[in-house]
Amino acid sequence: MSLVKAGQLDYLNELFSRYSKRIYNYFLKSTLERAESDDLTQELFIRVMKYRNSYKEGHSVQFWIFQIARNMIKDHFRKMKIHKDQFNLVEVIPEREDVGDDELFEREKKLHRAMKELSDEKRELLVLSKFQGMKYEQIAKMRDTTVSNIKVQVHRTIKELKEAYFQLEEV
Amino acid sequence: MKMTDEQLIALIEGEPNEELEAQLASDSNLKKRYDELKEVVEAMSTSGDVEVPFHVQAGVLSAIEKEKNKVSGNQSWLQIAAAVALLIIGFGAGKFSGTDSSNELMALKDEVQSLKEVTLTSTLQRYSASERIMAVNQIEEKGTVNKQLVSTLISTLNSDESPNVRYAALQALQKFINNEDVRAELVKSLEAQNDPLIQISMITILVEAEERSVIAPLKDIIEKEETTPEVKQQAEIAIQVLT
Repeated sequence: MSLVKAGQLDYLNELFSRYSKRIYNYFLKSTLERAESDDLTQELFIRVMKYRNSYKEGHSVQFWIFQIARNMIKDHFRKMKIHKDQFNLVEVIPEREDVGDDELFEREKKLHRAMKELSDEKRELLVLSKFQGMKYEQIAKMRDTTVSNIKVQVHRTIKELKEAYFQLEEV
Repeated sequence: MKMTDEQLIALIEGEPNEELEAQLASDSNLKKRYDELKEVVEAMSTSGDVEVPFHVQAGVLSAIEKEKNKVSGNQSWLQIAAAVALLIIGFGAGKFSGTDSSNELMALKDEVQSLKEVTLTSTLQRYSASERIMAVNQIEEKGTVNKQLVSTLISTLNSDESPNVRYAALQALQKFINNEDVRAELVKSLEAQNDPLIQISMITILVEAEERSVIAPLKDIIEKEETTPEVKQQAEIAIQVLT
């Protein structure tokens, strides 16, 4: 990132190949909308390029990029609340071939259906902590709150997700 | 002692809790709750990622090129456009000077066309990456191409130093995928590529074209140690589809 900041824009390609998949899946699993995730991902890397001078030397690039992504997703959720009826939530699971066996594929499908039952903010929290494997410390820093607060929120949301997940089984 | 779901989740996350572990061994209801929570947590952590669509990748790469162009402030593409404009003005002046036979008109049209093609080819050989991408896009917009331009695109795809230009050349060549020579050149080129984005795009294009001669190079790619897991996965899928 320091090289990009110094004007060596060729290194943006490397940043893109390193983070694009994680960022795309963060948007996709948090918003559950493919077209919006396409646009958000593209827009994010344009912002990274445009605001490269705001990156502080020595800080985590991943953290900086996810902070930009989070701000974008917060705006997106705000927009969603206003125009909720205009959006259709979609299946965002990988293709069957990517998942491997049938049992895993079914489990994945069920998980994503259950995720739809969560509020946007709660879903995004689980995407960061469980799908992206981000540490509670990092999420707390990103959300400007305490680690214990994040931990409580994540645990409560898992509990809520579990209820939705096993209710799907009964239907 | 009543154990909460939060305590069970903490245990799943790796927080030691001897009392809870002991209770799990003897309490079947508690064990059921634990197993259910574990299934959900594991489903999340093992959930597969979706590939970034190619149009998103292309959009970002093109934005990067535009930004680079802005930074460098290079104006030479405009100079080429000016040269073509001068020729057209010359043609217009000639038309008004009186000799307006249809043969001459055709000849002049061919001349303009050929100058444009030479300009595109020379741009691909000499100018900045952004200008080379613009030249590739111009070729793509033409719809029909002659052998020389296809061969320029192939040589750009194989040897251009910028991955973005190589990617643009590949996208342009995709338009001519029905041409047997283009497919054969792409198969040959695949073995020489080392950029994952280009490798994956190329595999997808050749699979969509049902080009079975790519199977052998795909097997070589899978064997190569330096091939990224994403490319290997794409190659394996391609082999399955084509066999």
